[in-house]
Order: sequence, then C-alpha cells, then structure tokens
Amino acid sequence: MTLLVYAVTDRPPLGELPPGVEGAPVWTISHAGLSALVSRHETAPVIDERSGWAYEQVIESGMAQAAVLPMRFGSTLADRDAVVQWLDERARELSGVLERIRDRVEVSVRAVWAQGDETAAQVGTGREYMEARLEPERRARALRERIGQALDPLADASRYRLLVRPSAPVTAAFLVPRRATETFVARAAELDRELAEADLTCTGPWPAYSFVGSDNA
Amino acid sequence: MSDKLLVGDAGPVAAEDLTRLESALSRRIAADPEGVEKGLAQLVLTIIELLRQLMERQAVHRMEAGNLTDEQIERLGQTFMALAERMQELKAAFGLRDEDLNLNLGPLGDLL
Repeated sequence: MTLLVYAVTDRPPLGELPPGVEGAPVWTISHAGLSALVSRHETAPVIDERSGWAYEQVIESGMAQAAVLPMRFGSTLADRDAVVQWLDERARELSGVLERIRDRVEVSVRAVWAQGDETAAQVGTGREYMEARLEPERRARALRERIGQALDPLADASRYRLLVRPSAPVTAAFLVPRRATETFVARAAELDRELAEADLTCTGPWPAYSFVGSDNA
Repeated sequence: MSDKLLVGDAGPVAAEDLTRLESALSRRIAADPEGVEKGLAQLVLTIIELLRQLMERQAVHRMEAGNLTDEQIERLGQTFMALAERMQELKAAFGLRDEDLNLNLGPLGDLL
C-alpha cells in the first residue's frame, strides 16, 4: 500500500476533486496548517500518458480553488503517518514556496528554429568543426536574451534551458501573476510575430512545477 | 493539451514530444538472448556518447573563452570530428539511432 501525493495546499478544505491516477479517489491529509492531496494505491502507479494527465487534472482542479504546490509525478509516501511526518518536517519550506507561487501560474514558452533556419555548416578543418559546434549555442543565447527582454519584465521569475535538442534553442518557464496572464500571452504572441528566426509556442496556465524547488527563490 | 495552447502551433512540437514520451516510457535494455548484444552495445555507446559530448562541449567553451591556441583548436576539432564519425559507424553497425543513445532521467531531463 502506498499514497501518491499530488500537491500541497494551505487552504483546505478543497471542493470536489476529480478521480486521481487509476481512477482512485483523492482526499486530503492535513497537518501543521498544510494539506496534502493524496490517493491510495496497492503499488506505486505506472507512469504513462494517461496517468500523467489524471495527475495533472487533480492538481489543476486544486489550483482552481487555492494556491497549490504541485509535486512531481510519482511522489509517494508509505501511509498517513508518513505524510503527517513529512508535512511536519517540511512545513516552513512548503509554506514559503506556497507564498511564492500564490496567485501565480506557470506559462511555458518554447522556441524552435523557423523552418529552413537550422544551419548545417559544412566543415572541413578542425576549427570549422569547433566553430560549427559553438554557433548553435551563440544563436540560442542571443534568442534567450531577446525572449528575456520581452517577457521577463512581465513575470515574477523565469527559468531557461538552452538547446534541449538541436531544433529547440530555448525552452522557458515563467511564473506569471494570474491577473497578468493575458498581458503576458499577448506579448508572447507579439514576440512570435517579431522573430523571423524562430517560432514560439506558448502553453499554460500550468501549476508552477518549475518554481517549487528551493533554488527558485 | 489543445486547451493549453496559448500562442503558436503545437502540432509538430506536441507530436515530437509524444514520440519522445512513448520512447522514454517504453525504453528498456533488451535482456532476451537475441537482443542482449544490442542492448549492451546501446548501454555502452550511450555512456561513450555522453563522455564525447561532455568533452566536446568543454573544449568548445575553452575555445570561446580564448584559452586554446589555433593549433590546439585545430587538433581538438579534428579529434572530435573523427570521434563523431566513428560513433556514427558504431551506431550503424548495431542498428541504433541517435535517439537510442539517450536516457530519460526524470526530473533531470534527458541524459543527452
């Protein structure tokens, strides 16, 4: 028997929550002013697309009702006592993160090189090979600067990853005040039109997955 | 997912992501007698490819920082070029694709 932990909130009780992973009912375990959203399973649930979306739906339902700190899929604890102990030990940290993400959502922005804009340099010499390896990084950094100048001022925090794969120079997550989401999206759409070298895809609002770690202050 | 799209066209990107997700979820080292050689080759080549890319990236950063002479840049470039070619040959020999030499590390992202 194991408990799958979806999220933590400090504003219980939540209204009705959708069924969780494998259709299991979701309920809350409260302690120290915090509540964990959990469901019970015989064994740790298998991670697949369906269970991932079920997990997401529970967190988003909670997010619609209160500030929630989303857990990474697959976070399990043995039983109710273990959840209570965990909440007790981490209460200060969890409360701090909840305060940071309250009334905020995560918006993801991904840039891919516009079609035909991926350069495949011809290399003959060793130096040309090295330069060809450096060039994508330079271009990705320049694009990251451009995106940052446009979107960072509209967000409370941002996290960037460069060249997750060769076709995707910039993958970014922004922590955006919920009330400013429309403004942010409008600016992202404008930026997408301005950028000739890359196409932007913007998705959200998501739970603040990228901003719940202790290194995201 | 479509109701989450705020800007842009997610079609090709989402399709690529789903393919990667399927691949990450189903990826296992084959342990059956027929597949064990390929499975081991996949594991070993993944580690070699990781080291190759790390060394290459470090060398590129040293070049960018101006810490290498022209001669060193040329020699390193030739070496990495030869290594990349050799890796392509080894992948072809074991019937492996680029995406086979990658591992999903969950919270840490992809290995390569």
